[in-house]
Amino acid sequence: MENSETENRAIRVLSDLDAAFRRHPDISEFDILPVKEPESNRSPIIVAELALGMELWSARLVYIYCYGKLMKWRSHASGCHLLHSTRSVDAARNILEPPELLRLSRAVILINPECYSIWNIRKELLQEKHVSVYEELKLSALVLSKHPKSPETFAHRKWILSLSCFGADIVDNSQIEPNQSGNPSLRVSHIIPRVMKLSTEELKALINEEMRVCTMAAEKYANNYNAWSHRIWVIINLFNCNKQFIMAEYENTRSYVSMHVSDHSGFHYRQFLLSNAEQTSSILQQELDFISELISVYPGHEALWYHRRFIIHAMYNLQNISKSDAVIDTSSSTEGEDLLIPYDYQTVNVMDHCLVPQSSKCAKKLKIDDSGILKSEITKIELIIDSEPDNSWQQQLAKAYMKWIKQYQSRT
Amino acid sequence: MGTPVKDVELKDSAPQNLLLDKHVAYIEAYSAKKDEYEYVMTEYLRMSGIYWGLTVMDLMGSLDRMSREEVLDFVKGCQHECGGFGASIGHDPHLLYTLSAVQILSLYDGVSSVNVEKIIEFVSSLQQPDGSFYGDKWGEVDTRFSFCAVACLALLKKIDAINVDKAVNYVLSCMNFDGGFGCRPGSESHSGQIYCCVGMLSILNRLHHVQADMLGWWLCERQLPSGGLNGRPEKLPDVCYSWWVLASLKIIGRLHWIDRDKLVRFILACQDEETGGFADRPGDMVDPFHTLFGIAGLSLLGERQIRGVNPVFCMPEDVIKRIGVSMQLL
Repeated sequence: MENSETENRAIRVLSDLDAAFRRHPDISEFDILPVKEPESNRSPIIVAELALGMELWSARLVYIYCYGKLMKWRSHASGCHLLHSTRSVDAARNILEPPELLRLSRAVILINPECYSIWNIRKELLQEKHVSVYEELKLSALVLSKHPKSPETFAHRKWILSLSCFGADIVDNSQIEPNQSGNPSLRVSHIIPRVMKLSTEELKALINEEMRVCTMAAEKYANNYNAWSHRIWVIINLFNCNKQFIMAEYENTRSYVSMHVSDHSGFHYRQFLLSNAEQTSSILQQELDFISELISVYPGHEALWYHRRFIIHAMYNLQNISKSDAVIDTSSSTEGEDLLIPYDYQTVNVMDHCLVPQSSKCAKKLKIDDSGILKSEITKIELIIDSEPDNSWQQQLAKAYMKWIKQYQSRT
Repeated sequence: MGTPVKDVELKDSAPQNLLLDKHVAYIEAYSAKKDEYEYVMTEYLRMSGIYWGLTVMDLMGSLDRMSREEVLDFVKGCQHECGGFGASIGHDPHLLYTLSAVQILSLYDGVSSVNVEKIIEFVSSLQQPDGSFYGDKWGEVDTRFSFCAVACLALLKKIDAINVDKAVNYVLSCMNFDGGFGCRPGSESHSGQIYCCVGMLSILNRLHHVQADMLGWWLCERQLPSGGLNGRPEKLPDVCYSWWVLASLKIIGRLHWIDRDKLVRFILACQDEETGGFADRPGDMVDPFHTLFGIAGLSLLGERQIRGVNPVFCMPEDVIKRIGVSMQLL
């Protein structure tokens, strides 16, 4: 069967794309250029320095062509085990070799990375060693340069990292008995690497690259939930919440959040770090001073006020932990319902809950604010409310914070 | 000098009445245009797309405009040997699309047309020793998948196929100091994840773990001066959060904490008077996703022209009653 003119054009664009990758193996940026119609005879694939551009009209052509070929192959010839299948009639005509699968899937994913089944094709190719871990991390980083919040792309990276760092056969869950009852400890199944395939140096390089990619994605898209969640996943699973690394991250992200005062995800990341650091009153005081300064320099940012809630909560908790000898280790509880300290949410302190749930220790609190953390905080906020213009956003945020802290106080 | 609040301004010319007929026509036409680039681009979520379209049609009393037989054939054709459903023919099985498939089948009372035992096998095989759920065999973990698994099994009346205590513990390990939930332990609170976690706890009758006042507070702070709701601090308002936030508030019994009239005004302003359908924000392009959550949000807010919606399953209340699924609401 002869190709249509549209198909021939798509094939030409695709081969230009392949050529660009061959000639410029270090391409690190990708974008689709808003050119809706072909303007001349020049190729719609443009490389400038390390950036790759694809004109919009050609992206549509290439997408329909590559996606169509892959889907036809997927639903007829391979991997697909449908319950009510009618395949095999023209299976022979749909054979695609791994190099072809790689180039077609690369084009699809650059344009639409949420197409999860296409990533799965690449996972299978990686398992069969038709593509390397290194290449796959590079491609997914390139995809993130255009689609910085793509959940499927971050999921793909997690899968690769799990594979290379743990050597764990994460695909196989056949031995898991869903009904088995036992000790419901809160251990994430990935935390403890079963087989370390990498040297410490290699692991460090891998993690540094992961941090770089997360920062890049965070800078390209504000409040990037997936980028920051991915970063947290890396710290928990690849670095086992190593205290030194946590402190290094704590220092490093200070400048990021100072320059992105609306980015609550960035501040949440610092909350995660603080929750897993060796908490002392000086580090929390330092964070409170830091946020107070940001709040006064950059008025009207909800993210800053929310971060302040966390710090006060953490300070209050720390004070009470240090006064209490009663520390309950929830990780050894045998019944699911005992996971949290039992309380009646309507009458008892609703904050009576561990600082962050994944930390294994929850403290029973003496419900006294005798060092006056909350009291002095209320005095400070009253000053801010009085000094701001009436009904300014900053004043409204300060009032909302005040309500929150009074509610907090009334529960303690 | 302060920074202006991140919000939108509603124009006086924005729609203020509910344009039901237009929305019915929009959904009907959307499902007919199969050649366009947009249709190909969204094939990876087709199963969910069909669930959104059918559910909003049912809520608007117009489900009979869609082809039951065609839909059931499609759904049936997407079930894999492992029991799970892909988003479309050629796409791999995943919990997200398995839930959408089960929701569609439930809507049409057609669950018996597929292999139910296999679905249950698929869903329960994805539970991990820590109680979490993989989305598919490749191992991504997310509290959204905990909701998908539990909602799926609840609709199939087979909750005991998983370890419920462990599933609950995992979700609780994703709770933050602000009362909200994230996608994994340590992750930021997010309205979409909160809906999934609270919904899952509601189905499993474990809402006593939720810090309802504190969570309700956080959810109400999502309402902006325009009346619209955002999903996280300092994000723009978006119609789909009229669902995720409102449904969560409904489940924990604090729906009356938000300003209803302002929110209704915001949702109505997101309609497109010409094409029908709802957009994320006034003036943006409409799509079936935002159309469902706009309509479902209005239903929760008591709009009489729309049928009652169930806050946990985002399906018509009478469908949930017919199946006989129970859940806890505070």
